[in-house]
Amino acid sequence: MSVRISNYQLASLLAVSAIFSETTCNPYAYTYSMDWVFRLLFGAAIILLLYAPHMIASGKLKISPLEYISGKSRVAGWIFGIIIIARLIYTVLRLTSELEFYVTNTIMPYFSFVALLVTSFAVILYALSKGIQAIARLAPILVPIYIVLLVIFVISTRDKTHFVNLYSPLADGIFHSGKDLLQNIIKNDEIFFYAVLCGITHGGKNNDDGKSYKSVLMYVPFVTLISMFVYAFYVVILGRFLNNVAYPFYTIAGFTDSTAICMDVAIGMIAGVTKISVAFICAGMAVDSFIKRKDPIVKGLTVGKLTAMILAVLAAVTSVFFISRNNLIIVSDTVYSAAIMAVVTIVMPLTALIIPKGGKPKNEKTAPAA
Amino acid sequence: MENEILNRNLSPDLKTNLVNIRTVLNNTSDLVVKYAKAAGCDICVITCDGMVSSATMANLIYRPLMAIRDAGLTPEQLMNSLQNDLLAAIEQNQPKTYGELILAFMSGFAVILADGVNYAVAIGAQGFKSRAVEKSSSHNNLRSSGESFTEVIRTNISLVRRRLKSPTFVSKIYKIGERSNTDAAICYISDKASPETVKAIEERLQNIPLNTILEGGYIEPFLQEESNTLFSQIAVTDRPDKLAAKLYDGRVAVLVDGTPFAMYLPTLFSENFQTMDDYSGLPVYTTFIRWLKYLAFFVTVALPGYYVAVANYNPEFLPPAVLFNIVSSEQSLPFNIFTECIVIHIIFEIMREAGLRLPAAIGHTVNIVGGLVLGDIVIKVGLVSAPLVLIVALGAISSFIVPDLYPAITITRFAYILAGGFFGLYGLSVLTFMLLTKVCSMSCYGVPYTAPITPFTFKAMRDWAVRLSWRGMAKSDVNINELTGVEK
Repeated sequence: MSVRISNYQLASLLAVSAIFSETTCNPYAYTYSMDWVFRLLFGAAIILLLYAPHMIASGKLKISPLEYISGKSRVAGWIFGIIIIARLIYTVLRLTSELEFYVTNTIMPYFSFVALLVTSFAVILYALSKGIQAIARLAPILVPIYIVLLVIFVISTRDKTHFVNLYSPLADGIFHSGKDLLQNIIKNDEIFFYAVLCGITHGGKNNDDGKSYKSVLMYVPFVTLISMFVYAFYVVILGRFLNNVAYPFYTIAGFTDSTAICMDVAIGMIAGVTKISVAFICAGMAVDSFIKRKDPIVKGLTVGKLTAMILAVLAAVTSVFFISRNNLIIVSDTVYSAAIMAVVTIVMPLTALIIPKGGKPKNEKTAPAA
Repeated sequence: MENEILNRNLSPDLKTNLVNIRTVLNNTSDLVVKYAKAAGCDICVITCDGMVSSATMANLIYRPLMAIRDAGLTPEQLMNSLQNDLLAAIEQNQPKTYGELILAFMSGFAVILADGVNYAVAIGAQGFKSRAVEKSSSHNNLRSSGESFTEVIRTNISLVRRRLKSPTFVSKIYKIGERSNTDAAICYISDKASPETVKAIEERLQNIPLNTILEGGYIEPFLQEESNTLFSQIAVTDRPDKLAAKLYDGRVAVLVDGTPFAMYLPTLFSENFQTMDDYSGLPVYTTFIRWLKYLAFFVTVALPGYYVAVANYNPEFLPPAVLFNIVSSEQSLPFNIFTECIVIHIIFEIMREAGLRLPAAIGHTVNIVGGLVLGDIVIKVGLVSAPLVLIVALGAISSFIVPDLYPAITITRFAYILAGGFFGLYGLSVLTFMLLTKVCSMSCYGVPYTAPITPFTFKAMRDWAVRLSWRGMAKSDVNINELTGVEK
């Protein structure tokens, strides 16, 4: 039987990815906003809408739309598969860079980039060898640890709060808040994870497949609530300084005792590694869904060639992205990410829903009846 | 030659049989052959010296043989009469080949051969010396039963049976090890254990490729689904009450003759933090102790590594007073904290190992010399700093709170020290991720090792996060096979 994960494990995995990546977020690539209510609530509503086509398609088809499309049309499968893989590899590169930034800007400023890269990739390879099931089981352990950490933070900094810092929604103006909102949405990598993983969930004791929408209905409200609390916490503690602080979570940890700083960094790094591993595994699963060849050597060569091609393109894009941060690059990056997200979240599930059900790809051999 | 004879059927000629038996056994000195004449037939009784009880032999075998008066019996009739009327033994069988005969002989049976009959009658007359049922030495409990398993498999099964007087309790004995022919038993409760698990364990047990099995530990790797792992997927206990409780939860036990421990599986990580006393104590207190054990586990595994990482790479995280003490004590020392920590842990493990294998009286002396004298002197001489000794001592004491995980704790602790020493907090985080991933990836016969935490089972929380009172627990049972999370 193929690997299955439960809905709550998928929800936890997405939540870990969303919440914890916040702590390893590159401060130069992300703007913290005072307008947390508008940004998060409206953002959650839009994200929920973006998830909707996938939720409907996977619920109806009982497998992920990508897998379904690959089974029906080889060309469409390759097109959507490569788009998802490209986005996931881009996520891996971005997260690795963020992780390096995070480690060298917080606890280990003198740590060699090469050593860090080698160790993190070794660990990620280890995680890959253990598979998605191990990572999915790990996620529900990390979520309570994060909540405990938050409680410690709140208790430790209770005398440093300034509620006058709280602003009303849209206090920064609709244009500024709208820009933040868009940035918040396109930064969402979890939707790509969901696009791949929705096909392997089950509902629980009754093993009712195709109910992966439950994961989204657990994950989105949970992450929104936690994020709202965290943002409110940042604003209450850091106030207007929030926009000038790299890693607000780490900065607030500095207000607490040393144990909290260590816990914060440890959890941030574990989360970063977890997210990179999930992105890798999802990329691998996406490859599996449209390369159906059984021969591992042929499959390996195909995947290797494909990855090398995508990496070459992405390396060029991301090097520009990280070296020069002028407005043009930011805008093109936003458009690029938004376009990919639209294709994966809207076009792909709709294609899966409208594609004729009876069709079979050419040259596909049908197994003889038993 | 010997192997060829083993497969052969017994001969009707008594002399031929005895020659072949002596050949197979290489004229071993513990082969005892007693010749007699009963009902006019030549017979002999073969026993293994030291394996049979003299009283049983006298009362069960020799006295009835001497009492046979009827001289008109054929050898066939004599053997039938011995088997069905005269010799009233609980264990009785009829070896037809030399292999079967030798196996019965080596298992402590008295084997009777008669001239003119091509089979033997084996009567259970075991009477070898064995250790009595004593108090458990590995798991001391305050309130629950003190009985522990012995080396005799049948005694061990009876100890469990006494606690599970149910017709659904099943025990099946197999011979494993081609040369040692060791008895191994599978025990389970038929309406609780998963039939697939029972079948899988039976198959694995019967296909163990070892020739000689002297102890349960020999077969452990063959029953585990993953062999190269720090955390054993098979739990071990020497307490029949604990084993009975585990069987009631749907587990399957494997007992091996000669081993005073029973193995049971599937096992969970959380089980290492439970003891039998938990179920006779105050639930609130038990819950507190459980959490204390989790904390102790965390302290013993991570504290030395954390200390090394912070002191070496991030001293700013330490409170100023502690930092001042560490700096002042480290200034005059020849080694850095990382080396000190490794060395002192190695010394600790040497002392522990030395104390463990020695007789109790000498062991105590070693511990006193090691703990008090060495500990005091290494600080005075200036080889190790006092804060580090405190950290090591705290970690060492905490490790004994979860004795079943001691091997895993020791290796993991060293790994944490190395990771903290080479890569600081980053190393600790990465190692934690790897360990968690490893533990989360483990399953034993379909049951995830991390259940019931992940996959989460709310019903099982009554005996994990808290320990409910028996009133609460009596409302329903939690079977181990319900914790799979249907995520196969």
